[in-house]
Amino acid sequence: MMRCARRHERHVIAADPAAVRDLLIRLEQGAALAGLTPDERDCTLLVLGEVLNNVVEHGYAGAPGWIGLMPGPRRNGRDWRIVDHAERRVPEGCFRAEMPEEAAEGGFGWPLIMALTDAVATRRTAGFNVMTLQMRAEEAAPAPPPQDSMRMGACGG
Amino acid sequence: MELSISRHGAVTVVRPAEARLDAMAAVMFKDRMKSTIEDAGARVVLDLSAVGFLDSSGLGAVVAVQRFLRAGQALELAGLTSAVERVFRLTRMDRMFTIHGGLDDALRAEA
Repeated sequence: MMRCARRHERHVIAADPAAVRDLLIRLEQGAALAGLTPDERDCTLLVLGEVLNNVVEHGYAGAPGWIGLMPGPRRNGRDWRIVDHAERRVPEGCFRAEMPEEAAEGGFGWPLIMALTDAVATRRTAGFNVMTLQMRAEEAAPAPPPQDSMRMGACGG
Repeated sequence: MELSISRHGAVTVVRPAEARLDAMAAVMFKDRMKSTIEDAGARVVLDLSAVGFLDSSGLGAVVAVQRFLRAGQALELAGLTSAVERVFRLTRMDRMFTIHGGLDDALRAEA
């Protein structure tokens, strides 16, 4: 039987990489991801890490702040909501960012997020940035795509 | 980010001791790798078998290490865990490196 996240599970962390790391470690060992396959869990932790560190690096850009993370309404380990109070929100272009074609030292974060999710949305509400994301289910992963496809069936081992 | 370094003939093996190569570790990893490579031989094998989590910052750091190589030096990878292998595959950075299944394979391989 799938174990579900606690009804009121939510996490609020400081906007810094150490807090992000600590939260990911807690999630890895917690109930919220217990119903996922190991590959799905790895992908979820990767995407959440990318999103949270993106808020730290680009949203708050070094300024102090906080980030909230909570399961989405379906509480299946694949739906998540991230809230922050940073002045900067995710630029629209991030959703269309392509994987760097050559050896690069950056620019992988958003393409990875988009490759591993079925849906990502953001909105600004009363000064808060709210992101919802839906991880791609392993069983829903399509057949291996052409090599230049961005939306790869990613969570299969 | 502690690195364990060992010499096997002309091969220098570098093994991160921590399980996470992430945004928090990336800068220190690059710095340590830079000084390690200065003293290394022609082949540097980065053994990632103990790394279970690598994010885009960690990936960028591994790619960046290539900038520190001297002419004739090569950086190779070994022992990628499934989560780490996925990141290299999805970003296509697996094409940028010689990747060995394990450290033994790397040590047996010709330069």
